[in-house]
Amino acid sequence: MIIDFRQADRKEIDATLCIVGAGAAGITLGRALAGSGIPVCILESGGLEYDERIQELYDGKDAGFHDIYDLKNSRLRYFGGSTNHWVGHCAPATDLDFAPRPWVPYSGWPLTKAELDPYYEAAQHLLEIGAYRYALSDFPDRYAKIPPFDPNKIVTRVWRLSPPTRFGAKYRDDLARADNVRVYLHANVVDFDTDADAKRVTAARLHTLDGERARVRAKYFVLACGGIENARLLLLSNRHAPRGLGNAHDVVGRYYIDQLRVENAAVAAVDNEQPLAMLEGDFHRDGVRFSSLLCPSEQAQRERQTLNWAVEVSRLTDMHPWAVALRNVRDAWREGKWPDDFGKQVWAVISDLDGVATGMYRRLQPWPLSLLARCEVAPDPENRVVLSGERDALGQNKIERRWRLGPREKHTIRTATRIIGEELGRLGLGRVKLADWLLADDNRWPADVIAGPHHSGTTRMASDPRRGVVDATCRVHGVENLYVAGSSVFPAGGYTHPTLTVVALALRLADHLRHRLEEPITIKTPLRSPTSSAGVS
Amino acid sequence: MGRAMFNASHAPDFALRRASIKAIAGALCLLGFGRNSVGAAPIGSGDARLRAPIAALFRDEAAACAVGRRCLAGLAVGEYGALERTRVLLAPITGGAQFRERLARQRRREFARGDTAIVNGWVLARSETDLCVALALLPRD
Ligand SMILES: Cc1cc2nc3c(=O)[nH]c(=O)nc-3n(C[C@H](O)[C@H](O)[C@H](O)COP(=O)(O)OP(=O)(O)OC[C@H]3O[C@@H](n4cnc5c(N)ncnc54)[C@H](O)[C@@H]3O)c2cc1C
Repeated sequence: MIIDFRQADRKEIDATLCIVGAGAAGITLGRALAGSGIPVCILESGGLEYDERIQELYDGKDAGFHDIYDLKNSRLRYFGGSTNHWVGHCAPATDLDFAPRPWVPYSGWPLTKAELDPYYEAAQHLLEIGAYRYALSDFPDRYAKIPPFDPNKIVTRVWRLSPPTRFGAKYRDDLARADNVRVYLHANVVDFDTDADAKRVTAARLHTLDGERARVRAKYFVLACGGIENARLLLLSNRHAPRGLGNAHDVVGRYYIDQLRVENAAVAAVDNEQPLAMLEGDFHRDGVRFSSLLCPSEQAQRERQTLNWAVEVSRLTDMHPWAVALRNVRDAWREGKWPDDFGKQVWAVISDLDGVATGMYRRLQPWPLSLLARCEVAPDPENRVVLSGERDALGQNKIERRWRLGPREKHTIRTATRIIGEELGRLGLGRVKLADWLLADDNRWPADVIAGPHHSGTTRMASDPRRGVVDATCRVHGVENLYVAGSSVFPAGGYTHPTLTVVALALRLADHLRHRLEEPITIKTPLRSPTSSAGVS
Repeated sequence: MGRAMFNASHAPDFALRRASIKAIAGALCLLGFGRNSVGAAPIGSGDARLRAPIAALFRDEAAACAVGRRCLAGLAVGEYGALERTRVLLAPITGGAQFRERLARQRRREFARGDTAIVNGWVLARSETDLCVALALLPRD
């Protein structure tokens, strides 16, 4: 059942499991437990549609790096959450993303990719992206035509593009039909009540924008409010834990990570009939849309000590959204000119030496492409979200996000570009020109670098409570009945977008909770419905 | 919890080292391109004839010189390596057709092992820039 909380007259609600937030994570979890007989209650801040007053609750301040995505507009606060405007790129994190990498401080998950694989596979279906296969070699017809990159340096992978699945619209009926699940809309959780030593959550406290208040008691709670709000709610739950719930070691809000996206190079390819074209643009198979990625091998990451990265090849056209840094290269090439005399001279040298090699001189015509880099952000405790002094309409402290990009990310993008340049040179396919901003050995970044918005890491997973907020089961360290779902638990993000992993982890958490709830329950807390018939579905 | 420091030694070397230029000039001398001892600079005017085999590689000699000059002006990125390598590269210049293949193989090997220089943003094989530098250094008739 889906209920408008503002019209429900019962202000004390009991459930066995209380999920806070109905985005990709909360809906996946609720849906996985639908029909299980476990009384589940989902509390969602928004309604079924966008509402500016509610969205305003996401407002916050950016100190440090910021781009076009501010805190208020980079996520959506209504049923379905940010999947109401996500793009749909899906890929699992890689084996190495899960492993501790000595050259990346604070890296490593307390679980392996193999443990998550069955859940990744199940998540594919929810995201409507077909089979769990992400190597370009899984598409032999296409793979046969791409350049034979050295596998010790470059591996080819794909994005699978979700339609994109809007979780609210797609799965609303499943939740509405489930007799053990109740979804409360317009139910803003403001914090958690705990016992005196903050080891157990006793209730989630709700406020509406109209001043109504209520409490939801449950045996277990799952926080599923997105990559930033999860940390905010823990920090705000400070009645019995002055630094915030689960924050005994001052880790909540720290290690903020995202993924970067920036144009890093232009490619002068030797002709337009060659294999690079097979890496450009989308392709379709079995009703699913794909695009190709050049990624580093594990060996390349290890040897060159980079973060994880991926590069997309695209044509330099007006349509290309990221072509800012390389605009003059693009404009000149489109008119059949070189952007500067030097490029022309370099190309003459390359053509001549190629001519020497073949014994035939020919003036090669450059065919312009651009490279778009995607790059992991290094986990760093100083990159963080904190509570600011400003308050929202519910009287809650807003978030301030403080983070910056560092030399690791720049080194990674520069190295990625160089590796691709070297491979294209080796294969005789063309030459790469690094974007100017990559040439300076400083920490300056171009204006068009974009982060995610894939807010992650703020309640990171680690076995050691001094290094993380949740354990490998996603339970908050030191709090026996509170779990976190969503990208805030990622200790490292890789280059891949988060939602497939968010959904896989939510399915895994559903399994875990199902098992825990099979343990003998001492106090039965059957779901009681509000007495009014204020259901909206 | 301090920010972990990034080891800058992993970043590419962004300056063409003075020593590298000396090494190239020295190699040219050893090969008979110059009269003086290694690193001692001026390349004599009699070397002009030795310039010819390198210049013959390029239809656009001026472009190659410009690239070489850019490398020498310090805009090149990367290490020029040892005198030995330059000698190996330049020695077979008189070898005609075989040299062409050798040069192509050399270039592929350099790309494969990451022995590249970044010149004004362009990722070039070391031997490509070496040849351009040599051409820029050698006097014309
Ligand atoms: C523009 C854009 C493009 C994106 N593109 C991609 C992409 O291509 N691929 C990809 O993998 N990911 C993408 N993402 C990220 C993706 O949207 C998120 O990974 C995903 O939505 C996270 O799911 P979630 O459930 O953790 O959080 P959300 O989907 O954000 O859901 C959180 C829910 O919690 C509710 N909530 C918040 N606070 C409270 C509270 N106090 N009380 C009650 N409820 C609360 C919210 O209303 C919301 O419904 C994109 C995001 C944006 C913004």
